Amino acid sequence: MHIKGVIWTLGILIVLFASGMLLPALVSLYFSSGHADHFLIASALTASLGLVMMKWGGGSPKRLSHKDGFLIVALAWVVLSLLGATPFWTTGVCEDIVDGLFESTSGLTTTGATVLTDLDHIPPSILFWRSMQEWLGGMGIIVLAVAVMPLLGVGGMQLFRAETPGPVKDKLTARVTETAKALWYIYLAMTVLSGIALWLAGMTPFDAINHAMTTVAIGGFSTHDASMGYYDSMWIRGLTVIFMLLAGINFTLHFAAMRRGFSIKSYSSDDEFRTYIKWISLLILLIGALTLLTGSGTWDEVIFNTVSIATTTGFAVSDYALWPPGTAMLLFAAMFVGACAGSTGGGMKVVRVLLLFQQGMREIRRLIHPHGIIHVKINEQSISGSVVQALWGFFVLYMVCYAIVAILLSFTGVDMLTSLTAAAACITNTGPGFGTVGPASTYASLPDAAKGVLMFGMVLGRLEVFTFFVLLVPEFWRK
Amino acid sequence: MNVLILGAGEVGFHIAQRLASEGNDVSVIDNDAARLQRVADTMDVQTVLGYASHPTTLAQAGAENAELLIAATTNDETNMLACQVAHSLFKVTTKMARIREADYVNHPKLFGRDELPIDLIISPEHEAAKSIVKRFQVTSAVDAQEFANGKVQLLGMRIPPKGHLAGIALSELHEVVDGLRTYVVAHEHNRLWRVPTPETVLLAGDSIYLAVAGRDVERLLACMGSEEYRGKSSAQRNVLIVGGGHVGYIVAQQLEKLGTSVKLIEYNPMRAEWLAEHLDRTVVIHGDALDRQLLEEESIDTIDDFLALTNDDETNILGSLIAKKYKVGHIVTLVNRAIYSDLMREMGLEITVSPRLTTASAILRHVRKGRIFDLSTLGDGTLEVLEAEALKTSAILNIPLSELQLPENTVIGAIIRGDKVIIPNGDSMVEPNDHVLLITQGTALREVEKLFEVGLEFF
Repeated sequence: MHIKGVIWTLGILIVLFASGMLLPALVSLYFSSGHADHFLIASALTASLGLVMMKWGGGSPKRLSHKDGFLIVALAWVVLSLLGATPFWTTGVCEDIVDGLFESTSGLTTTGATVLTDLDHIPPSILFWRSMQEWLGGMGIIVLAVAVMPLLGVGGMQLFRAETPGPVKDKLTARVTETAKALWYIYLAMTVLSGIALWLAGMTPFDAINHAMTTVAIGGFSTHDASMGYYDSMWIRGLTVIFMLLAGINFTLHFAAMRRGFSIKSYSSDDEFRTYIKWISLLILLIGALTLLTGSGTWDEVIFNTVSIATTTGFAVSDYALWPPGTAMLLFAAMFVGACAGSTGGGMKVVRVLLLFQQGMREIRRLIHPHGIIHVKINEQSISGSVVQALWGFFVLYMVCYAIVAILLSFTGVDMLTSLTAAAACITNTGPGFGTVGPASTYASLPDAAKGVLMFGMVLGRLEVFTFFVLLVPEFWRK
Repeated sequence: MNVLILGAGEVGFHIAQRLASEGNDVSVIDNDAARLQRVADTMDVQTVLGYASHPTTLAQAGAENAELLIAATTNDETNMLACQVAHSLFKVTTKMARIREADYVNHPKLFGRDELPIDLIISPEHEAAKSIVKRFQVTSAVDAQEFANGKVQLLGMRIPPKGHLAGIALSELHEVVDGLRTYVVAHEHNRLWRVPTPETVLLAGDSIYLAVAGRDVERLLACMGSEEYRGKSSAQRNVLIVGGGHVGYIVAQQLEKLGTSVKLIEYNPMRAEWLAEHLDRTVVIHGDALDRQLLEEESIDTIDDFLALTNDDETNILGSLIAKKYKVGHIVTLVNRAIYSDLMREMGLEITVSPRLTTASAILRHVRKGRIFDLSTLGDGTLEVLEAEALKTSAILNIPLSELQLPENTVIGAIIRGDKVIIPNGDSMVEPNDHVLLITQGTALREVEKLFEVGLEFF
């Protein structure tokens, strides 16, 4: 392990992050809503910490092992979540230290769970910082760092692998820097498109920028208490649905499609994409039937809320907690399935669920053909036994983590429904749950200890369990 | 002609034998001394021990004077390289190579004068697989052969005991087939194959070959009314393939495309894994095809088609016999060794495929002189089929077929004029540049070839 290299890399990440804090300062100057100085202070504090770490680390590491990659990524997410809270404290929006941390962690992990109320009267700079945190966390701030800093090219792949979600990680191009750049270009282009579209559909430019960032990052922070329910426009809702769906697709697929001139075929030939579309359509049909039969909602509400939860975004146009109980269970299941691997969404990822399902089918077929040789396949390619095993390991760990988070929550005095759903909403990076943390309320009422547990769950979910857990194993630290 | 044959495996051996017996000077190269010895003992050829693509080995075998090189080793890359060497260093005129890997064959741009200089690509496994799939689609026929790119088919079938074909003379056939144009070109009675006359009477248990236009095949089969398979389309059938070698793999792949449900039994565990990875919907089973328990596990009694396609003739024959015991309707047996081909009928196995024969005839077709394009055999091999072009100098032009003096035991089964197919009657005439499908007894082959050879006055 190269401790100095790890420290230096963390330092440069922190400096990059600190420079990001300057943007909200500009926003507050533009709206002359005050707080510019507070953001400058936060940025200066953060940057100086980063510079000290870089100084101590001595310089760009010659090489990074895969262990260093895990360490850097896990530490980076914890440290940046911590530092991202400084503006909330300096501006005094969150008087409570824990609340600031919660908001920051929830933003960076694209969870979108909030403790803030009265969003419509919070200074625009703060709102902008929240959205921007989600946007940075969406594609992954480390992927961004690899893209913009060629210095990180050496150990880039180690970092890249530890941060991007999904069971199989492909490099799109020969050089990891190029891959990271490609991903960020697609991400940026999608954000810009989304912003323009929302603006044309009737949002104010400020709201359009914020919502574009939180939609494409599959985050779910809004600039209004009523979330998307604030806008009574079919255009805005429809466009948001489309961009949520797009951001929930594997970016590798977008990249491949872009190279082939956006042919529908490059999407429709992908097993994960097809399952993703079928799964969301099925959810919409079932939830729609339940809701419409009982007269508790309309079609557009059903489509919007279902897509929002199924992609793990967390926007809401209406309080779906008032829908029949069956819909709540379906949405709860949808959180766990999540979006596609390699997207900005959370959850376990469609491809993993698909593979687990196929593995189950394989066992059934084995009973019919005792001597049959049956492979689990995605896109006509056999998935090796070790990947399937890793998948089972992931599934078990993920569920165990979920159970632990939920149990710890209940220890802090939270009721059962809230514990079960809040734990799911945070570990899958969705945001709103049910009970006291439903779409119509916030996480503010939870005790501090509960918030702490949930923050842990969010980071765990964002890094897909393994990257975080590997640090907890004694063998990792042995020389 | 000086011929160089690389590789003394099944294919190489058979071609060498045929070409040597036709009076060519043949050299065979192989890197296995034992196999070469077998060649040297059986036929009158030169044998050279060495690596087939090495220039010194080729020179030693007389490549400088060779007009034809047939690269038939088991290794695709060796075959391709040998053709390149023969082209660049020795200027051999015609080069043929056996290439198994479909990935190479699917890129025709690879081959050409300035690319890989290969004039003819032979792929025994592909040829065999193609004919198996062809037969699969016309199961009521015992055999199906395509000519002129599928425009004409020769269908082989048995006269069923209670069908409406039994007991009629050929001159009455057109009433049974509903006016469809068809021509019976070969008839077998008591194991004796001959070219029939209009007076020939069909008896139950006889076999016949019918020439029919490709587009009429379905209708003809419907008229003939073979009850067993009526109503079961390719997609509804259950197929069991034994052996996942090249042939088995290609057949499984093709059947998957037809929507058939396929099971494939493979003995070698590594190969079985490979197959499971590369086939999409086929159920790959690792085990011994002669294991009764395994066969019953896979419910062999509900199988519609049993295809025995391993590399081992004995396994194929025994497997087919077991399948027959379970009353499987359609059984195809792959047999390589000539001695077994003769035995098949005795054992009650009617449909056999022989990659070696198919390949050898593909090569010989190319070697033959004149304007003869296609050549294959019917029945037990006594009858030959030729597709030939009638040149302006040919003696058979513009005479009604009823008056045409063809050699004994020879008929014209079909005339292909451009895109049109004419199943002839007595009034039909052959025009210049028509392609003609002739069926003839082996003994008359020389005479028939003469009809189509370029006449002296042409020069």
